[in-house]
Amino acid sequence: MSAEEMVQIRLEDRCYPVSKRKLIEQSDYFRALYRSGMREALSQEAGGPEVQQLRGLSAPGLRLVLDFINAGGAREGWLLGPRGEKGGGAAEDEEMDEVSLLSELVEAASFLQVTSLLQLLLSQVRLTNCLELYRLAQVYGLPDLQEACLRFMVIHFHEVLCKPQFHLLGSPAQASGDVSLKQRLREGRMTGTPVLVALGDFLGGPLAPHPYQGEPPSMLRYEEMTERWFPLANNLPPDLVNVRGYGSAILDNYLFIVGGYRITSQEISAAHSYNPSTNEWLQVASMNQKRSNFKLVAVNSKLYAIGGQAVSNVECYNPEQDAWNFVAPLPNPLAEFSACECKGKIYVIGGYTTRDRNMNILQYCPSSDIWTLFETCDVHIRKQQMVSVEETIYIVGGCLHELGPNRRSSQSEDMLTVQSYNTVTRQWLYLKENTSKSGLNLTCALHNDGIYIMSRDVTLSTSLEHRVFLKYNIFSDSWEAFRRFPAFGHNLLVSSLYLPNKAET
Amino acid sequence: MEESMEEEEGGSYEAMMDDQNHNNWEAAVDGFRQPPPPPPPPSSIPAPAREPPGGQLLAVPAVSVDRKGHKEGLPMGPSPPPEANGVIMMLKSCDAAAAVAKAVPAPTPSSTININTSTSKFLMNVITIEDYKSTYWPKLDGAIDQLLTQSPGDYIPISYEQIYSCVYKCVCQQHSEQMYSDLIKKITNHLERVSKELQASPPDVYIERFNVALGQYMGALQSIVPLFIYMNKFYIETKLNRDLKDDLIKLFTEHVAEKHIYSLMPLLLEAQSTPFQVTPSTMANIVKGLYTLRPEWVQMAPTLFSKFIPNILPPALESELSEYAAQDQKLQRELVQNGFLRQVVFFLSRQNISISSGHFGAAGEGGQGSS
Repeated sequence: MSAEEMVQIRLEDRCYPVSKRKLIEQSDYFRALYRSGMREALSQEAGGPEVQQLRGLSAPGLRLVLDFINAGGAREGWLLGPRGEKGGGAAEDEEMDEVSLLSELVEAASFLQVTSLLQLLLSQVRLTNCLELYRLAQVYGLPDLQEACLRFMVIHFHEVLCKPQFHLLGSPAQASGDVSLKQRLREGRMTGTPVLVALGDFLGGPLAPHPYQGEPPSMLRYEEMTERWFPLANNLPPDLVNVRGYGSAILDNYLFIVGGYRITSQEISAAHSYNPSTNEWLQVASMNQKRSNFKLVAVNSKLYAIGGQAVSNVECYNPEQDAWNFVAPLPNPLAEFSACECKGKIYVIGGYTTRDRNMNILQYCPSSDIWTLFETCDVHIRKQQMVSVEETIYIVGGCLHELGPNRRSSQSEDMLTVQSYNTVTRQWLYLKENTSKSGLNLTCALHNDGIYIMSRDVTLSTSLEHRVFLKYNIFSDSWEAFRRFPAFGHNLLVSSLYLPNKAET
Repeated sequence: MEESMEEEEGGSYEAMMDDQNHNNWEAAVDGFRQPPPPPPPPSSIPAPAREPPGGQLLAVPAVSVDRKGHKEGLPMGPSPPPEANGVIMMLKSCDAAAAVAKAVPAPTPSSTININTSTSKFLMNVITIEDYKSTYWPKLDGAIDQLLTQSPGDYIPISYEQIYSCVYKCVCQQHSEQMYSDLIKKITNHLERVSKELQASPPDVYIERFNVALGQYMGALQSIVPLFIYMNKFYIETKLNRDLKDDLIKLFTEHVAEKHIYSLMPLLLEAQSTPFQVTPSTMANIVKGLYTLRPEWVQMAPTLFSKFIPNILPPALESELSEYAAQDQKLQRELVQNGFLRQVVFFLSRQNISISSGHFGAAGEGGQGSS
């Protein structure tokens, strides 16, 4: 092989030899330089320079880029930094080193316009470097990299959100009118296909409506077109199997399962979140209080764990800190109550206090951290489920008990009903009933244009259990029944999540 | 070596290049190599962004707030504030955040990007719009002047690295938009001057001068475009979806070529029929140049263009002769309408290129009819 023409690149006091051919091939800076006809483009004989002087770059960054160029560009298995990704336990110093090396690398690659190296960075976005790469992409004007970082951060939103650097990067320095990064990511979470997901300790066996190989899955998704349930690739984490009375809520398209009790032992405080974007469960900070049969409600990007068995305290989970903090408690412990968010406030309705029926509607305002008696009702309700649309709360199922003289008679108290309560006009509407079904023991979720309800129904005469899967359409005020119940099992939870579009196959 | 890099023929130019930032980089190397400020300790302390209770500004519907007191039920009252520990921790963390904020230079209002944590020597010094106007643009302006006015093939004493670095810094510090508009403005002014000078040229040197102007400009672009590739890639291509070279060529088309094409073309046609009036290489340069600027101009003199540019004319078909004739007539009409009737008459009467006198007669009628 004939000797390649080498170029000496000089930075500060050091020279780095690089093949001129590779340099021109990989670096738009040098390609343009040699084409420009300027001083440095000339050969030495023609009065050109002996070395190509560079200024302002960092030596480690330049060295990495020149190594890349000398190696002939992108190669299989190229990893950023010596370690690539090594899980979460990396020491903070090491992470800072990686971060500063990264910025030096990106700067040198941007300055010298080594496009293939910049392109390669798109596949190197990690939890440890995504914020830094995002910042660098903004500084050096690399829209592809910026997009890749945004995509990554949308997928790993809560993990990124609780990084301390997030707040340094994030908000106030942004120009006015700019949507904050947090806001952009949050909006990014709400993309994909809304899908009904069912969780539970499903029983396998011949009675299951669909054949499963091996262990029955504990997470299913519903395909509306074919009206069939399919297993999700992931299952409940072992910690959550056989946990009852937990609280669940969706925050930023993460499904949180918090607290509860195990049949064999006592209450727990652990909290897990399911991320549909990665199809993974994460364990997050545990509550300060062990609790079960409580309500978990998402308001203003935070979660509130309200009450529980003989518990009146309330605590708030902020994903930005991955921590729970106590806030104003309920005036009394409540049992068999329900709660939901509506227009930025929490409403608690029904159940029992330690002494009596709870006839009060309580309202919690997160910004002032105050519980208020909102209104007193005429009808007692317990064990209902609640969802809200705009200023209307829908009360699904439960056991109704009218007090006072004008009570309706001859009415099964636990039939499946849907009522609405308007928090602005304070008007109750008795919307729909389904006398053959029980309103106890149901799980429901707001999904598309209706409330999807799953219920276990026990016919007393035969003591046979059968299952109901139906939808209450809130616009047409009508029932729609579906044939396919996910599977026989217990401890069922239905919720609506955005699944990544690729899962729709 | 270093000396060869620093020695400089155009003394005044080098003085301009010696900007404060270059000096700062060298002096500040050690000072600025420290890593970015450490983040506040994790999890044990609430992050600085934590708002105290009540600090959130929620869009609370007025109704629900108003009604709070109207109902018989008393408000259940504010709960005790979060445990004292929590507050202290919060304050501490706020202090920590403030300390971090103090440790880094304050961003300028003009910068939309927080580059506080940058270790980059390039970006250590914030370039304000005033800095850009007083230091950076004049440097670029001088270099562009030099490139625009030198003859093709001249030795260019400008350092690529220095001008490129200057462009690079301005782009990274968000001055692309200003720089792009300055560049376009500058080149437009230059080309308008060129065009005026051409207009004042006597006919006997007109073609040659046009050729020089075109050659000089295209030669200058050979250097100007590479100098601005950083702005091209990270601003013009990505934000404007255009290309700098195309934009700059278009400027010549608009400000020079279009203004002169109707004077130039008859002269070219004449010169072409008069041996040795202009050198064949000048002719070739101009024709090729015009073709690069606007391929449609071929239609003004297809035969002339086809002599220098291969395959621009489809093989002539006998069946389409009448169509060719019609095209020629249309072009003639356009020329006539543009006020060059006399020249056209004069020159074309001496031409025998592709336009017969019969065609011309038709064109003349068309021109009169439409006027």
